[in-house]
Amino acid sequence: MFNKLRQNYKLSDVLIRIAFVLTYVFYSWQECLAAAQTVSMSYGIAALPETTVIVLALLMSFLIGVVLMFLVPFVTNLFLNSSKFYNVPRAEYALLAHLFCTIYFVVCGALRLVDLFTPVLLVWGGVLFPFVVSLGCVICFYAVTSRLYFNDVTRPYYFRNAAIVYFVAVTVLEVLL
Amino acid sequence: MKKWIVVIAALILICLSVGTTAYAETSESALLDAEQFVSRLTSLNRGVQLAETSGQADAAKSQVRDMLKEQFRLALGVDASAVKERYFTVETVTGYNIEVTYDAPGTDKCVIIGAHYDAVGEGANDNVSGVATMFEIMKGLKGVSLPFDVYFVAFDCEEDGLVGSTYYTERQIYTEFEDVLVMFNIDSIASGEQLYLMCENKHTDLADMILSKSEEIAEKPYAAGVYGVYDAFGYGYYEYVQGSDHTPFRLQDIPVALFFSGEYDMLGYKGDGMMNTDEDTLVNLQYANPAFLSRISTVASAICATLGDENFLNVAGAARGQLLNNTLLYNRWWPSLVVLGVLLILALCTWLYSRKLKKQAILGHAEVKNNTVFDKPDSEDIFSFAQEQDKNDEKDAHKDDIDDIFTFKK
Repeated sequence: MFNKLRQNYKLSDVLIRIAFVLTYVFYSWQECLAAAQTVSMSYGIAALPETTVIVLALLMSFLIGVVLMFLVPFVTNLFLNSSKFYNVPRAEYALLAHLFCTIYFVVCGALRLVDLFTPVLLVWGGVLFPFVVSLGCVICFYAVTSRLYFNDVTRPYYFRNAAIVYFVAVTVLEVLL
Repeated sequence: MKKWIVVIAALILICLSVGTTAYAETSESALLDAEQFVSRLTSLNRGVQLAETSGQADAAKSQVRDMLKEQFRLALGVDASAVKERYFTVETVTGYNIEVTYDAPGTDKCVIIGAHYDAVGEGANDNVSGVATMFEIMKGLKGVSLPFDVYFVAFDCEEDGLVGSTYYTERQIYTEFEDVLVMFNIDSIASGEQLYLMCENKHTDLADMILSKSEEIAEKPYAAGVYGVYDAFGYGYYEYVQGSDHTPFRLQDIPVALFFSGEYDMLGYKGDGMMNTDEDTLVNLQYANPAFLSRISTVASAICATLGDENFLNVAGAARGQLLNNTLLYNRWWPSLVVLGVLLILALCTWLYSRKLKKQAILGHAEVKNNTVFDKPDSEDIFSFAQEQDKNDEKDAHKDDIDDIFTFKK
């Protein structure tokens, strides 16, 4: 699968970027709708028309998705440069990062739909679902990239740096915030 | 002649003054009906709204409190000593809760019925309608013998962030929390399409009992709408449901029953568009819902019938056992602690795997990974998915991927 993806790099890149933004909208629409409603409520309850709130939420979600799409290559480049992995193709590495983020958004977005039917898992699901799904995605991402770009000698350093970044990110994003 | 003129003038003046006094006493002392009560309270709220100085505002608010105390006393038929005005100050917010106690002899158990009386503008719907309902409940319970005390509380400063009710639960409550059977809260029931009841974040026996008293009241659709927006004030779980003066009581694990009106859709709760604005006037309310007085009597009757139900004590006693575990289910720290625990285990696994990788690094190969990105031109491969050879390649490659991902071995 990944060989085919690499061989059709340009098409894959475009498709995955589009999928990234769309799946982000699918993943974050509830939060954006809640935020748009908060804005609406600041003008009094149900002050803005419903369609305006929905359009505002989708627009907000889409824009954040686009910003994140450009942010991912920046973050991966920063990671690769700071780790001195100069032989890794930057664009392709970012493409794979986009791909696994897309998978994360799809799975987490689907799990978040549970909140529409019952609020019982609101808090536990809100913390555990992203953690479990992100852990799975990160392990798969590591397995793929380490096989493609690293040999037996460089792999331990890649693993160590990736693990540090993961632990810091999860501790800050999932536990402290 | 002059003497007669002076005497007649004096008599006229005396009559006028007596008449004025009599009118004033009548308007202050007479028990009002629901419509008069709503009209008078919205009028007094307008006085607060129009006050230009803080002194004028204080005087107008004082008039509101005086009117409420007098009407509550008359409605319930209790002594003036049973009606209390309690001052509180929290940071920069000051206010007065008005409390009326309807005592039942020989019991510690009690029910609290509350509605906030502070308003934005006239506040015809939010929350003159709620206070009027409480007033009607007092009339309904007058002279009725109940096996528990009833504490009526008109909360102040709800619009400032539930300050009055929070202060009441933290500092002012004069009974043990275990003795409070149920807290009924009535907030903005006059407008909107539907009258709702919300007891717990799930169906309960208490909700069943109250709903059985009136067909016009529907149970809140608990899972409707998008969550998150109501946590803006940081009340945690209960703010997701419907934030009002019952929230501080529910956070003390007291069963609650909230009456409110509006409607729900994907965006969550929708009010009437006038709530918390200067548009919440009696004229607008009469236009939006001409039958708003029947809402007041519906809720008042439902609460009175519930309190008078012979099974109420049993159902209310069991209601506490049906509450969701607020601390376990809705405290974000518990799942965060679980994540931390899993992270610790992961850190151990990471360390072990890292050692394994280092061993492999000593024994393994340091071949240069030469997987160039553009090893074939795009144009040749973009449309080549259907070719049989490529299909076979893909299958093989996919097989390798799966092996590598899930076995972690070379």
